[in-house]
Parts: sequence; structure tokens; C-alpha cells
Amino acid sequence: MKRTLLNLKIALRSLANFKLRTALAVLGVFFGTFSLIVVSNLSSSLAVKTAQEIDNLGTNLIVIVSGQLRRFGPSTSLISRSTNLKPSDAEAIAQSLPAAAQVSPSGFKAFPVRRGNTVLKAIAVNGVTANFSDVRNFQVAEGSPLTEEDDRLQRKVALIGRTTAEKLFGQENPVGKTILIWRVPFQVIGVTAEKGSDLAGNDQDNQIFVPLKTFLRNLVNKENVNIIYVQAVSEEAIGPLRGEIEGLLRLLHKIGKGKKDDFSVVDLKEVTALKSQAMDLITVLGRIAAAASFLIGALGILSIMILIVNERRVEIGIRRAVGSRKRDIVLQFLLESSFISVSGGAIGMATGLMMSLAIARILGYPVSISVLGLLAAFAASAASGILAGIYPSLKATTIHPIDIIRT
Amino acid sequence: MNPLCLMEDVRKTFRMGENSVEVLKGIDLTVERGEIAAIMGVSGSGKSTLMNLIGCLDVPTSGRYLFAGREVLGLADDSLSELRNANIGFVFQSFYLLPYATVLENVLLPSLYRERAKDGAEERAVELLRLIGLEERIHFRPNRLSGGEQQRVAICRALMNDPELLLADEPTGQLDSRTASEIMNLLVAMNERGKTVIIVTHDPAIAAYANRIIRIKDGVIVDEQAD
Ligand SMILES: Nc1ncnc2c1ncn2[C@@H]1O[C@H](COP(=O)(O)OP(=O)(O)OP(=O)(O)O)[C@@H](O)[C@H]1O
Ligand SMILES: [Mg+2]
Repeated sequence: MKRTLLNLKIALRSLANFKLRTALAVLGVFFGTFSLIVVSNLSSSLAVKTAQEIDNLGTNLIVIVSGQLRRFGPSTSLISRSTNLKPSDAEAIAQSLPAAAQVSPSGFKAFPVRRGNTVLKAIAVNGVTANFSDVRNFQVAEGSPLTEEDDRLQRKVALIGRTTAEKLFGQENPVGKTILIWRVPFQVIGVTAEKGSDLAGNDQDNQIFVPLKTFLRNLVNKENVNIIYVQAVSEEAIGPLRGEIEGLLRLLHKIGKGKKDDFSVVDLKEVTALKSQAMDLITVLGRIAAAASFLIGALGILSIMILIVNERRVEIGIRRAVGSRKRDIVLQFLLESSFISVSGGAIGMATGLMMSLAIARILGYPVSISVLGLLAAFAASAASGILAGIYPSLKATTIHPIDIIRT
Repeated sequence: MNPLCLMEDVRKTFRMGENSVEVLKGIDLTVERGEIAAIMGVSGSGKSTLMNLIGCLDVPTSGRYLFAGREVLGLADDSLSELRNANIGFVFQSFYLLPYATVLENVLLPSLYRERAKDGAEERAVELLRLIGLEERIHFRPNRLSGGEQQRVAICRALMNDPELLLADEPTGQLDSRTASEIMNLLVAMNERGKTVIIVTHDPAIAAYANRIIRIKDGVIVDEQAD
């Protein structure tokens, strides 16, 4: 060990003669590890984020929206509207499809909301059934949840999100207070637990939940809902259940063969899958860039090692004369070349880590360090140094002391 | 006790493309332990070639060479390295110190390849440098030393692993006569401490330090004389 360090020390001093070339060679390995680290950390951050979001949405969730959705890449848009989705559809699904564990129809619309002199121009107001907190994974942080009785009796009660609560009430406790939604007075019975933003970036804590019946009768004066959330009994049940729902709704809505649906069934996993496909592409591109950088780095190290071996012919000859074996020489130069690449790799890993922390912060993603990515980056930088060192170090063993001392 | 070096009908042929040159044409030579000998001859007579064979830097094309009773011909490259490392110290005309290593690191070089690492290598190196009066310079690079100082460092390097045999190929070739006699006195002192010393030279004044002169001409030993 001590011997190795001494040899390395001597080698580093000789490297000082080729500062620019060494720096260029190191730069390649640096970029390679840098992009590997950034890409692997980002995709692992995204994976964590996606899992969190799916959890946030509710487990094993299928969403039925009224009208037709057109999907274009990762974004979806409603291309036709329909008023055909009814609470009775939800009941039919709940009753006739055993794979549907819970069914929660919901309507929503933006309304002005007032409390005293504070007016919020447009807050999303959702009409929901009592089971929505289960299905959509909305917990109540303060106060009490909406009940079936609230819905049945069309009570004018509301659950409000944390952001809305702060906007309307500041530090005051909103529970028990009255707010005006549009022109209808509602009593706040609770505040939902914080959820942060959803996949589309909307603040899920800035909305209001009221009983569905109240919403339909007293706020929008309609019969139809916008969305029905269906929770499947298990993950495996999601696929078949989708088909069953589609069949049932076509029957209920009397849609003939060859006619287009007036509703769309979406598996939320698909939506998040689309998003991670985009990330996969970035990952692949990042890996290609990393591979190219490593190649350039390795070639740089190869050229500098050839130079170094030539420059140090006398040293090699003398080392052989005083008793170094060929494998000592090979080992020495492999060590030198991998030292060059690993030091570039270490800098790349450090800056890559900082960069991925910064990006995660900017995008609001959770920080997730990919250990596999770190290992891969280290292995790749060590490997490019070792591979680049093989030829020069083998060449070094062909130097014979008698050739050196004859000149 | 067997002699340190025993050569019988040693020949060395160099292949140069299609033709080959026989440089050593049948050398019979015995070097006893504790000797100090000079190899003399005109340029091109094969002195250095013989010296390389004695030092196991190269192997004979044919013949027999026993070093300390051990047959050298047919030894694997690694074994030759180990043999040199443990038993032979080299001093060359152009010093051949590593430019990027300090004086101390240069002296330590042979100890890096010892079969078993010994404690106190650094202490020994410092002690050797102190003996020849270079202890002040142990952290200098060789290029800051005079020729005579560099050759003294090279002698310390040769002595590092405490070898039995010291081989010096024109050790004073690049030095003025005063420095040359300092170096020769040092080699004689080492001989008096028990090292076997062989010096290649074409300078009779240098050869005069030896107690035996081996003359070589056209690849054969022409005349051996002891003082
Ligand atoms: N590796 C080699 N390949 C080919 N020819 C060689 C080789 N080594 C030595 N020779 C030749 O062998 C002959 C003797 O060389 P050597 O170096 O032994 O002479 P020398 O007596 O040491 O001469 P000098 O006093 O000039 O150092 C020379 O003609 C030289 O060209
Ligand atoms: Mg010579």
C-alpha cells in the first residue's frame, strides 16, 4: 500500500507535465459520470414522485369521465362533452360489478367563495359522496368528515382544503364557521389533510368538498356528474373491470354497436405511465451521452498513457533493472490510468449529485439518490481507466532495460 | 563455497533483421565473492554485453552461467527480476535516476519490488544517503544535483537491497577526474565492506582501483591479470 502510494506520487508529478491533456481526458470521464448520476437520480426521483401521486390519487383507481377524451402524448383533453353521466350509473356499477369495491360519483365547478369581506373568485367546489375520502385518499385533518346522512339530507356543509382555509380564515379555526359558496351559505365542518399538487401541478389543498346532492340541487342545479371514481378490489381486477364498466355504461346509455361512447374510462396508472415514458426517453438519451463521454474520456486517457509510457521509457527500464516484474509494471500503469479516470469520475459524481439535488428542488420532486446510479458511475469511470490503460501498460512491458542503458 | 559468478563458454548473438552478430564468442569467467574486478577493452569489444549477462539483465545465447550456484539460462523473466532485485545493484554511466522522484524515493526504488516488504526501508535509505554525505539533499530532485552527487545517489540505490554484487558500467564516464576518484573510492569502500564489485571501463586509471583486470577483445577474454 505504501509502495503503491509512493509510485502514484511519482506518477502524479510526471503527469504535471501534461496538464492540459490530462484535464481533457479527465473531462470526458467527468461528463460521463455527471450525466449518469443526474439521469439516474432524476428518474429515481420521478419514480418516487409517481408512486406518491398514485398513492395520493387513491389505490387501484379507475376514473370514468363524461364525454370523450383524446390522448395525445402525455396530455389528455376532453374533445366532446356529455351530460349523460348520472349518479344512477355509479349505483349500477356498485351493485352489478363485484370487482368494484367502492364507487364515488363526483361533480365539480368553480365558484366564487366568500367569507366576510374575503372573496375568492374561483375555487373548485366538488360534490362528493361520503366514501370519496376513502377512494380518493383525502383524510380529514380537523373537524369531521362528510357523512352519508349529510348527502341524504342535502346538508349545506363543507370540507375545505388547507390552502383555502388559510386564504379565508388565516390562523383562525374554520370549523363551525359559515362561508358563502356562490350565494349559498355552507357551514365548514372540517379541513382536509394536506396533499400538495397533483400530476398536473394543481394545488389539491385549494378546493372545497360538499355533499353531492347538495352540490347538484343547490349549486349547479343539474342531474349529471362529471366523474365517477371506481376503486377496484385489487390491482389485477383493474383491467377486466374497465371492460365491464364500459359494457355496462354502453348498455345504460343505450349506445348502439359502432356508435361512439359518451364517456371515457381511464386507468390512472396509464396516465402516470405516459409521464414516465417521457422520463425513460431522457434516461436513454442521458445514458447515450454518458457512454459517449466515457468513450471520449477513455480515448483521451489512452492517448495520454501512451505518451506517458513513451516519456518514461528510462524509468521503466530502470525499474525493470532493479527488479520489478512485468506484472508490477502493468499494475503500476493500470493504477495510474484508473487513478486519472476515477478522479475525473469522483468530481463528476460530486457535481452530478449537486446538480440532481438542484433539479429535484426546482421541479419540486422528492430527492432520491440512486445508489445503483452511483455504483454504475463509479464502475464505468474505473472501467474506462482500466480499459484505456491495458494497451499502454502492456506496451510498457516490452521496454527492456538493456535497450535503455545502450542509448 | 562456490564462486559468485561462473561462466563457461558463454556466447551471445544479436539478431539484426536477417543477419546476426555474435558479440561474445565463448567466455569463461569466474568471479569470487569479495573481489573487485575491472573489465577492460576497446569500444565495441562486448564489455557492456558481458556486464548485462553477469547482471542477469540478459541471458546468454548458449553456454553455462551459474550465479551463486544457480543456473541463469532458462530462468523465467520474473525469476530474473527477483534475482536482480535481491542480489545485484547497478550503477550506470548516465546515472539513470528517475527525474520525477526525489533523491530518497530514487534510493527506495529497489525496495518497492522486494519479495517481502521490510520495515525500515526508509531508515536504511536515509542512512545510506547519510553515509555518502547527501542527507541534506534527500528531498531534492536529481536535476538539482551535480553529476558526482547523482552518481552517489545511484550507488545508494544499488546498495538499497544489500546485494552481493555491485556492477558499474563506466561509472565515471561523465565525471571529471576528481569526482571520478571520489566515486571509485566509494566503490572500493563498499568492496572492503564485503561487496563483490565489477567495473567496466576503458580508462586504465579507473581500472587501477581493481585488484583484477579482465581484458576482452572481439568477444573473448584475451588476458587476465591480477595485481
Ligand atoms: N541489443 C543489441 N542488438 C544488436 N547489437 C548489439 C546489441 N547490444 C550490443 N550490440 C553490439 O555488440 C557490440 C558490443 O557492444 P557493447 O555495448 O557490449 O560494447 P562495449 O564494449 O560496451 O562498447 P563501449 O565501450 O562503446 O560501451 C557492438 O558492436 C554493438 O553494436
Ligand atoms: Mg559499453
